[in-house]
Amino acid sequence: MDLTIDVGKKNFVVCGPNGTGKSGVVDAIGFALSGDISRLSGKGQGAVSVKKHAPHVDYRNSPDEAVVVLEGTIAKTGEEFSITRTVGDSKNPVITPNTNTVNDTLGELGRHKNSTLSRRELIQYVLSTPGDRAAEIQALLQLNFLSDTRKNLQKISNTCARKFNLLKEERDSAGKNLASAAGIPLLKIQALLEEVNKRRSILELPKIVKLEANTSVKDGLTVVTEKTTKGVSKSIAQTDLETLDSDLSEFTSQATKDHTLTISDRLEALRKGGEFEEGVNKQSLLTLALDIFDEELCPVCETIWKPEEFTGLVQTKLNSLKDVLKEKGDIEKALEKVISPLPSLQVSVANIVKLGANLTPKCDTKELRKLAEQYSAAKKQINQFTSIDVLLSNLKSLHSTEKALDDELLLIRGAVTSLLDTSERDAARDYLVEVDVRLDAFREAMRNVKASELKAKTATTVFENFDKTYSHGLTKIYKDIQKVFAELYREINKEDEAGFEAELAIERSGVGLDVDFFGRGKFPPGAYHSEGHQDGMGLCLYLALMDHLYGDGFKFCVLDDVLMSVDSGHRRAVCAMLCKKFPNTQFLFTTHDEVWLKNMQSTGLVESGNQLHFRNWSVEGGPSEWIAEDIWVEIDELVVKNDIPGASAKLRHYFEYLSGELCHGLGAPVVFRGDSRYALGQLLPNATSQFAKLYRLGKVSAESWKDTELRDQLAATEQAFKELVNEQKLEEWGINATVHYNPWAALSKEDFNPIVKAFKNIDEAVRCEKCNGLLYLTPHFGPKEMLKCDCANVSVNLKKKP
Amino acid sequence: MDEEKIQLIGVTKDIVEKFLGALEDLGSPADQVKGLRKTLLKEGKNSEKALSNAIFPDE
Repeated sequence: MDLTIDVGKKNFVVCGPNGTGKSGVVDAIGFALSGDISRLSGKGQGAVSVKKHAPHVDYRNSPDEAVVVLEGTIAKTGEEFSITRTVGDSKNPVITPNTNTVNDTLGELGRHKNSTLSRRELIQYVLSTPGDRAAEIQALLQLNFLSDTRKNLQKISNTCARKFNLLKEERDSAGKNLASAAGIPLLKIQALLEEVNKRRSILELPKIVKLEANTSVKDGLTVVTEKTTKGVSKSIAQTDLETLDSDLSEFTSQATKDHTLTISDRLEALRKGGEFEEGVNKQSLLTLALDIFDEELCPVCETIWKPEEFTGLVQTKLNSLKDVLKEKGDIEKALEKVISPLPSLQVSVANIVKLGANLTPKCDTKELRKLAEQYSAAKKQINQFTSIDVLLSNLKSLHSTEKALDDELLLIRGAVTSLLDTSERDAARDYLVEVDVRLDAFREAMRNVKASELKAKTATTVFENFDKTYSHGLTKIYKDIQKVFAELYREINKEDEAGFEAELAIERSGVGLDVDFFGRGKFPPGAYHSEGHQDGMGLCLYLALMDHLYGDGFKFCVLDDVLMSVDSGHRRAVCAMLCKKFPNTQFLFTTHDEVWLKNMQSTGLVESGNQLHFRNWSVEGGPSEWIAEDIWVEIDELVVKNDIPGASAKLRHYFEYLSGELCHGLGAPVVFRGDSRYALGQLLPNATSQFAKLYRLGKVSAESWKDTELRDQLAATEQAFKELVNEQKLEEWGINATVHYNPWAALSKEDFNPIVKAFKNIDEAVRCEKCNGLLYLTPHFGPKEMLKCDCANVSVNLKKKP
Repeated sequence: MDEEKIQLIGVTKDIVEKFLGALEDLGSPADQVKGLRKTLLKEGKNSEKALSNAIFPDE
């Protein structure tokens, strides 16, 4: 089956009872633009999918035959385009022409899927939690790109900072190693030079006055023997052993053990509760899930998600773990003190391992190497915070040393002691060679730190700048949006909420929305406002967001049955607001409500021909349409077919509606009916009488302002209108008689045409010639001020000169 | 999955432009600002790798 709809370039409405296929039109537009149908995908859709369930039920195994072709015009350039997409190959639409403008525009519409708004989505803006609202707003405004950019810049900055800290540790270790070999307690240039120059003096080498970046402390040594390069300097070996002894003694001291014990006790207590470890594991899993989420599939169960829904959900779960994260942060801080001596200890151990290998005969260093591995693993595992058991196991053994290690060190110490005392000259030469090696290593570490520091600073500057611009920008965006949102909402509720204000605030958990309630304070929208008002708020917030995002580029929008709970009084105002505030946007509406349709037409939002009316739907044929281009065309057609009862019924039905609209718009007094079932005779005379009365008031006003020309003009209009009303009253009997079969009232089309003409004249007289909208009175309550139309072509002052 | 390319518009684009302007005002290296402009605005990329390459073009 095929359905072709020409919506033209102006606002268009698809109307019909529930279940006649209106949403199918919206789905088709959404699918053509994005390859997706929101109600068949995403959260909560379970086994339903576009691929399987978008085609017609009888053709569900032929997805290639389910095709949508969307033709349109790029407003900016006037370029005409066509996009053809099949369900079978939904990711590869055929787009013509293949130009940058067309591809960019369609790509943008398809990616963000924000041109279509259903009632379900509309309510998410208003009644959702701050976190969900933030996710909706972020997605609509492309702010995800900014928040992701911020997140990634922060990651880069953190990575650089971590690398910088690591290199600083390496530099400090290299410095300590150099000081140890030089025999000075702290690495100070002056002290180093003094010790170096003592040895140089023994070797009759010139004194080094200043230590430059490339100064070699062994400069001038002409013979560096095999023994010197590979052998062992007894004095340096002894210093290295003393350094290790000192480091180990401090690391295994009672004070250090007590600190570690406090942490272990806390971890034991947390392990008993169970929740902490579960929270830490969840946090690791959720953080990893965010990192590896590919913008489509859940990394765990491979369910398809909308990116903003997935990240929003995971972030909400992470936020719920804030107590666990704080506890974890405190423990990590305490653990830092435990592991901070490890790099230096590792260097001290490595020096003795090297010493053992260089001694003759070699000394076994198995226990030392085991210790080095233990320190390395402990540092890694404590940093990773994998599990409480692993942490406790590391902490338990970290400060104790095996007897075997003591025995091993005893042997090495003995071997060093038994080394022959070298001559003073040899010792000086060995000293200079070793110090030079360690000085080079220290310089290399310094260079690395400097480069890393620059990099860390650069990354921090970039991140902080982005963060600042983003935060300021975000605050401004929300302020601008709340301003436009409140303006739009006031526009549709000016009679009862003219002082409405709203506050869209960035909160820790997302974006909060509080709205004014009749000057009693600001509250969440769901607190006091009716469902209809909340619908209005949702629409206004969506429009404010789109206005902010696209500005003049907001050219196309589908509103899918979005205002079903708004009462009829406010519907007119919604239509007027859309006409006034978004004159350059093409709206495509769907509604099941005929009154809505008439509201849209009577306010001039939708021209009478721009509609598609679905009557019913069948599984074989899909929606069946009834295009009522114009009520008067329809009536004329019925008259031509000699279906006078049909034409008469339509005319009466239309005038019941029109009279109601006029009574409402003109503030005509009507005898109240509890069931709101007014007959034509209970509305039309009241409406026409009020209309004439308002012209009279205008005439009196013009007289008071001495504007005789206007007075005469209004008098003529009033007179002409009265004549039309008299004519209509004369013909009214014809409608009443012909609606039902009456043998005595079998009128011919020639008889009925004057009746049609009389009523049509009234219809034309109560509208603006220019915008075709119905004239109405302002304000709706209180002293009458003006009779006008939406385009201001008609504006009759009703106030007398004071 | 290839990194998705986003064509920035409206407020999002404005914020990125302001950020780049602020970096220029701070005297950041021209090639760094140029790289970030190309990555964020022209290519519409913002992954950690793409940003890192733009910030440290010599690595």
